[in-house]
Amino acid sequence: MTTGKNLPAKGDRRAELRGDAGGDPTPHYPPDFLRFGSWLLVAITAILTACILTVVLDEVRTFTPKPDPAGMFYRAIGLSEPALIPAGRHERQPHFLPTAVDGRYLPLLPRETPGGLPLLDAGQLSSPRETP
Amino acid sequence: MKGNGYARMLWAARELWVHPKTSLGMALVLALLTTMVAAGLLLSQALTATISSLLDQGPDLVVRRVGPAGWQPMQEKDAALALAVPGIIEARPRIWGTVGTREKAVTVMAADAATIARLMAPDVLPPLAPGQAIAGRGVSIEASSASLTLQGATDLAVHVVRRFPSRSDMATHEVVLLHPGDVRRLLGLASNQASDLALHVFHPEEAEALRPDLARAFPWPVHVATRQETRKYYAAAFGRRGALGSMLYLPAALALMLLVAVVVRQQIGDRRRMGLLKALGWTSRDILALQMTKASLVSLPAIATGLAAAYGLVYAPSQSWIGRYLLGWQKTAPLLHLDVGYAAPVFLEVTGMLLVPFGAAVLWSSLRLAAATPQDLLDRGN
Repeated sequence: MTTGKNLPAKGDRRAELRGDAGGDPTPHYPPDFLRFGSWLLVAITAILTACILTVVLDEVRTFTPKPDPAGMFYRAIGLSEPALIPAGRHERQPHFLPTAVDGRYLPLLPRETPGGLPLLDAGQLSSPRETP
Repeated sequence: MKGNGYARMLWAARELWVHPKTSLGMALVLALLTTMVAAGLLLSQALTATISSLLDQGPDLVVRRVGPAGWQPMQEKDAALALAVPGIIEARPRIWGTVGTREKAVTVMAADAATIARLMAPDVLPPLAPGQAIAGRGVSIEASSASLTLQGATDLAVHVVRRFPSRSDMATHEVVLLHPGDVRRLLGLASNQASDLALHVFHPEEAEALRPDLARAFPWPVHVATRQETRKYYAAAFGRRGALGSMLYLPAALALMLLVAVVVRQQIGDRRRMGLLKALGWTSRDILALQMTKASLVSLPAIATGLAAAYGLVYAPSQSWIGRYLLGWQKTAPLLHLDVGYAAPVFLEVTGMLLVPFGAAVLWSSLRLAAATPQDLLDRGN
């Protein structure tokens, strides 16, 4: 028997929207939700339009080639590696590098270019195949 | 509802409003997923394209003298040996290297009168005198005296007379242009010595074929680097970083699967209401159209927002997060102005990648709802 004890108070708008009013398990959706629906449609249309317009306008703006200052300076100075990776790192200059910077992580580590090793010095061995 | 697209969209929006948290959460997850995937792909495309266009402005070949200990200087007059090789139209001795400052390493480059004239009109910028410098935006200088102390073979204090513009950061961020004598002092080079030779060839595609001729033209061993090699090197370097970034795709794929599962669960959870609508006279086609409209209202704005956010992250002018977090810069990262030419295919790719599984999940669950009888839907409920 329904006592009414668990029912929401009359005029409980939130309970009505949740569908708890009257103990009926079927949710009730008041017709004025259509008004929210139209607002939602307007918001969705505005978001879509703003996103598409932003990207399209920027693409159109950059479609025509413009003078590239980085390229002009790159050519004028005569550089051959872009400045995207910090200078002094091996990744910046993959080839042999004229450097005055010690690239070791620790000063106790051996230098990167130790020079010719004594064992490979041709003056010490008369033939590469000769072994002591 | 039949033939009335606006009414269907209105009703779908109303149904989304009934579960605002679920709808908003789904849109947010979809937008984040789109941003994550699109930003990675856009960044990879943009970096490769931009580096490639920048390298196209540089020399076709770089010749360096090498010895047992690595790089060795060469004489400026050795440029004549390279010019004797058929196909070489310009040989430019370069005096440059890497030296330290109090904060970090910088690239010093000699600028003779011809270089300065290429940069700016002589009445605007006269040739650099010894002790004068033009520095990139990433080089920290004393604010009051505009002086910079360089630490190479000897220490040298120079006066910075001008800075490179920020739009040229990708080339000149930490480059310091100096008088040739100053660069030689810093690198320990003798008079008339140069670091290497920058060569231009008549047909750039022949550069690779000229390597043996160049090796024979010099009386000592040389290392010849082509532009193509440098391009491949940078592509590989960014590829390694990209591979690390692609580890993000694994959780992204998992998130996408969870999203699909949520959609299917939500659609199946609407059985009772769909049964009610069918009992009121809605056809299976109406039900299917309603579900697809709901999915479109959530997914299209979410994906558009995600793509716009990714576009802004990668292509926004003056952004430096890429350098700071991906390229190893710590305090001052170069401002990247990336090429937007390849954005459209990435947009289509990402949209398809996300919409296809999402749409398939919605379509499958909607077809199951549409095919069921109203009694069955009402009986089985949620």
